Amino acid sequence: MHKDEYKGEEVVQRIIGLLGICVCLLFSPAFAVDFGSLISPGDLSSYHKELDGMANCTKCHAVGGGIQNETCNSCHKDIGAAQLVKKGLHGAVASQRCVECHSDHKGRSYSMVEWDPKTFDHGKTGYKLAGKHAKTDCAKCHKTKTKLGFYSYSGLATACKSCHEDIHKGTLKDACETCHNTNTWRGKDVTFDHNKVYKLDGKHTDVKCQKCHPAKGMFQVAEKEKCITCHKKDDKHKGQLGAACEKCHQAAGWKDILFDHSTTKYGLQGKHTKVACEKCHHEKGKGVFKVAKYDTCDAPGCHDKGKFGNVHETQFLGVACAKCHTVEGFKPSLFKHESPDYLGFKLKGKHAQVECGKCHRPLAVTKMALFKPMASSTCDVAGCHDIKARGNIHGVQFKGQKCESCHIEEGWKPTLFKHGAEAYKGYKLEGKHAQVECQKCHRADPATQVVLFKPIDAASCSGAFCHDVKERGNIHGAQFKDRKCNDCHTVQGWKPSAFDHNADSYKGYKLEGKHAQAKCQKCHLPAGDGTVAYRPIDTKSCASALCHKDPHARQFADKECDQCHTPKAWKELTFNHVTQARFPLEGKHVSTQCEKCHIGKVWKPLKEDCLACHAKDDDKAHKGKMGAKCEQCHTAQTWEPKSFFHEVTGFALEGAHTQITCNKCHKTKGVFTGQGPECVKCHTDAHQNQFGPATCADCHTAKNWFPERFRHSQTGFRLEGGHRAAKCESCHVGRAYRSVTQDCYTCHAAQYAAPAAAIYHTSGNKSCLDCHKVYSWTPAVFTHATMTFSGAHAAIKTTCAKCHNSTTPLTLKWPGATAESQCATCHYPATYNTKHTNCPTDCALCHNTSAWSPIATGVDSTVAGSCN
Amino acid sequence: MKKLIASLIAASLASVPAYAVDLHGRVSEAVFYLTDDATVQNYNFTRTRLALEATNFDGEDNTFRFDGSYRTKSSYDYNTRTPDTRIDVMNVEMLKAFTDTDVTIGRQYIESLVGARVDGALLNLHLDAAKGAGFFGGTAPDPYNDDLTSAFTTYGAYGYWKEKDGGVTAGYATSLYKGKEDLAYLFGSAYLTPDDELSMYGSVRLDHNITAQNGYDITNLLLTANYRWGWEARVNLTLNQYRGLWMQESMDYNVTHEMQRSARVYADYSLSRSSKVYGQFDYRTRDSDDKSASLYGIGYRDSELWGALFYNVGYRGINYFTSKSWQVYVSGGAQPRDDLTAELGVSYLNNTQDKPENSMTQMVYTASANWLVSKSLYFNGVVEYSTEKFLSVDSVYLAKYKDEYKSTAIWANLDYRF
Repeated sequence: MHKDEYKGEEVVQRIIGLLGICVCLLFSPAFAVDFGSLISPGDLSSYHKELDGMANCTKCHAVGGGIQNETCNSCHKDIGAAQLVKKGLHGAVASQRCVECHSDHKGRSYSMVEWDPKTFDHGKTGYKLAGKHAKTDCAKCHKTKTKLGFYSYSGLATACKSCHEDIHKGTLKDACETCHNTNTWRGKDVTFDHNKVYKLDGKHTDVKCQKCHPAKGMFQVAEKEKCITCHKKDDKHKGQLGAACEKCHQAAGWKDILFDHSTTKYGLQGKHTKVACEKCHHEKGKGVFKVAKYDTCDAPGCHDKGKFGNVHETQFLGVACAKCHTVEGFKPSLFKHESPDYLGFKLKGKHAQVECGKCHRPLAVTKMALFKPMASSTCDVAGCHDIKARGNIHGVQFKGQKCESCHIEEGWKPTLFKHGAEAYKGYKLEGKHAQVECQKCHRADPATQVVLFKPIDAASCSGAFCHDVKERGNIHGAQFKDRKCNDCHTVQGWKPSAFDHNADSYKGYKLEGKHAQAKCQKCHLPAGDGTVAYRPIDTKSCASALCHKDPHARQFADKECDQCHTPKAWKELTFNHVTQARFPLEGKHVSTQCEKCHIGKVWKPLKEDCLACHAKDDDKAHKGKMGAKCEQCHTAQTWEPKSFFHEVTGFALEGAHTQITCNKCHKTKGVFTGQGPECVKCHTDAHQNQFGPATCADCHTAKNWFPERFRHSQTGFRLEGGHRAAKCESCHVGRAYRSVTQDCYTCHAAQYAAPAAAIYHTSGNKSCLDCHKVYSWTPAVFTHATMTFSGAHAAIKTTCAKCHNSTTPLTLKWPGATAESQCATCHYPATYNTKHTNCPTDCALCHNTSAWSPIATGVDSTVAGSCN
Repeated sequence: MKKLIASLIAASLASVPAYAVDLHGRVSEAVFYLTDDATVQNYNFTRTRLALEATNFDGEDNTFRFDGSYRTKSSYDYNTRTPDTRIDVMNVEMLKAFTDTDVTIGRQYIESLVGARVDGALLNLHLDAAKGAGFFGGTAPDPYNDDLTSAFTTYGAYGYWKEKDGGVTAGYATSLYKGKEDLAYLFGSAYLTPDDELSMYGSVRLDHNITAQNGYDITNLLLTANYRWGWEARVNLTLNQYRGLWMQESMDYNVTHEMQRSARVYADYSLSRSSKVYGQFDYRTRDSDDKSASLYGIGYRDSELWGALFYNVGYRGINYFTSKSWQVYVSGGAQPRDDLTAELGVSYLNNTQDKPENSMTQMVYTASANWLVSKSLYFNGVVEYSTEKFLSVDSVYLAKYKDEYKSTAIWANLDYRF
């Protein structure tokens, strides 16, 4: 048998065994006591406790098995009804079995309905809670309770009225949600469109609802299209004009009247169109627009005297107003004095410009102006130029004389009277007097206001009303009481006076410079009473005499003005800023305006550092980077740094550098920084960069380009002897100043190979110092190794050519004798053969270095004799 | 070309009345005279320089410049290789000869390319205010005696970019001797001034080394930086390495092809508006020596003592490989007016060559003056008198002539500007 097949058979056998054991236990005596409890899965909940017991099983459990919904709904009828119409939560789950959610047999305390009101999705009921509904307590709507005393959450309709009271009392037919939503019940969330019912425009848009709908919630208005429905109390016409308010009024504004007066029998024109209605329709009680009597202008209520002051009273009774007046304006009237039709007084000149009422004055009692012809034969007729009514200034002075003897219609002034006329023998008006108004002298009597044009006292200027102190303010008061005015003044002009401050006769203060041009009262100031004392004033101090205000605010209270100022000109100072100031002015400072530094005319000493005045200049030019020591670069002579103190840059200008222009090195215009001290920035390096640009100053100075600082001894090769005057290029060929070897031959190769010297250098010895000395190249001093220069030889020791030359056959070429004993090397053979035919070749036998001849004493005679 | 010819004419005939021209210039004559009782030889030469600038030649907006410097010796010189006369520069320049190109013809230093000289032409092209390039070519002055010769030829080019705060120059030059490369090198320099306090400069020269399989040797390298704290203090750091120029084809004498290096620091500090202390230290090494050299110095100077006086005192110590020296110096003078400066100086130097007993002392007295006689006339001159005492029995050359030598050197220059 297959192993798996055996295993399956064993499982089946075990299950059958277990079932057998279960059947035995089920029917054993031990379980026979309470069989019902043995088959019940558990106690029913407290809600179903009446259904406990074996006898009640079938009340819920069908015999065929299971619990049918109909069984549950037989008790829970509301649920059943809802499921039947598929409404509410249970209606939505009608296809499900009740026990799927509401199981039982789980004990008495088991709650068959498991739900949390806070998390319950009300949308499952078919009515989703939104807005304020979502926040509303359930019991606000679900108020009904079950017979067990629990709130019943079913059966509630979704209509608003189910929960909300209808404050409209059924007057509104539309559903609530037509106007309301779940956010708020009122206010902005009310979406009612009034215009669909009654268009609100103009002032209506701002009117509160209660104005027209005073009863709460009652919005239906009968005859809403009629204004009077709401505006009945506003009808000031008391129903006189009917209910069609809209004929005259509009929603834009009650007072924006639409009434067209031209529709009446009296159309308004001219000024009438601007007159307020009540001006004519002035019956008691506003809004009463009875028809005014328009046949005549002076109808009661319009231009009649009683109401509107018809100035004519009954003067023109029977004459239509329109005869003289038009609706364009009551004035001017159509009446023309100058009309040819009018035969009365013609208005000419100034008369034509005078208002009618000036002459046709209202009567004192009736206030009525009589436009009747006046007595024009005299000007001073009452109401025109008479003294009482119009102020005839002459009073009765010219009584009997006609006004026109002096005055004309073209103008009351000037008169025809001429002071200067020949016929007039009185005071002649000259100079300024001729320009003065008459009343300047012919003054009105204060009491009567009458002006007497009688001759006045001309003997004294101040005698009459002219220049007397009291009446005309004689500014001298009584100072010149005993003097005549014309001692100083003339009729040509009161000012200047004829008084001459500088006259020799006057011993007081002389006026000089600007003082001579100043007005007298600049110094002779008026006193409190207006009088001016032209007495000598204190001239010791300009300020104390009150002539000059101290513009320095007493900065120089301890100094006299004339220390700085002169009468010549206030601004031409005598103050010497060079000698008197702590900061002497130099250069451009001398011509600079004082206020440039003394801002606000504060003349006190300023800080002496340049930035006190030149801060802006510094900011513009250096942006403060150069520090405050401006004087290091600039002078008062010029702001341009021509005397720039170059030392401050770390590179002092010396020698030739002091005499070149800035742009020789600072080649970019206006840029004076960043140049650096390296000589190569300005100078071409003739040494081909051998020393580097930074070290030029080790040898050169700015005094000149001559390498003044250079000391050859510092290089390890001191210059001695002839080297000291040698031209640098002699050794530093090709301007190679470094890396030249120090052996003589390098520089003296040419001399070494020169033909004249070649004879000496045939040995090839290049140790020059063996023969030459640096302090004297020639003569060379060769130290002969074996040759001694004794006697006469000493004299030729340095004359090498005596022995070493190539022209004389007798002389040996280099090398020559190496010892003095080798006489023949040099002294042979020129004379030897002729004189020494029998002589031995050893010269020293006869000669010595002291003298070649005569031969030395003591020489063997035989030898000497044979020498001959 | 027409303008170029005109420039030559302008330079030489500028004073001819037929040509309307604004002419300014400078002529100077300098004399150097040296006599030394150590030798009968004197060393004298004169130098004449003429610089002209002619503008608005013939009524046109143009500028011509002439620069010439001529030197002649008037004394014996035992070195026959040094010429009796020498022309340092002699050239004519025309600005904007071709639109934005300046042309210079004649003997000249190529300023943008350190070490280059030419007897020929230079075209300096201004690309804009900051950038430009130059091309030059011609024969080269004999490097040994400045003769005008066809044996040496040279050509090269360079470019530059120079702004206020920084700039770069780079170029190449070569010199041929009888058709064979004598010298060829690349040169570059740069400067940077990021602000008013800091400035940096560097240059490098790479010479072609024929024997180094066409490689390039650094002949000269310079890096220097300056920093200042306000106007009160300044420090300079410089690194430099150098080897002798080797004209590989023409040179008939030896130069040591060794590298020498130098590190130098200099600093000064202003104690007041006009006075400062300063010091420097220079450390040097060279390939051929296992020793090192150190040069140091300190000093104090005041440029405005009592308004018109100035003075400078200092000490220098030099341990230069095979010799040791120390020196004290003091100089002072007066500048009573802006146009006149006079100065006197004295220094004492003690030198021991290779051993202490070979010591030598030197006293040097100098007098100099700079005088702007008038707006046009300027004079400056130096007189130097020195005495040297050799305290050892034998000098460094194992020979002795005198114990004390005296020498006098005079340099005088008169400059006339118009």
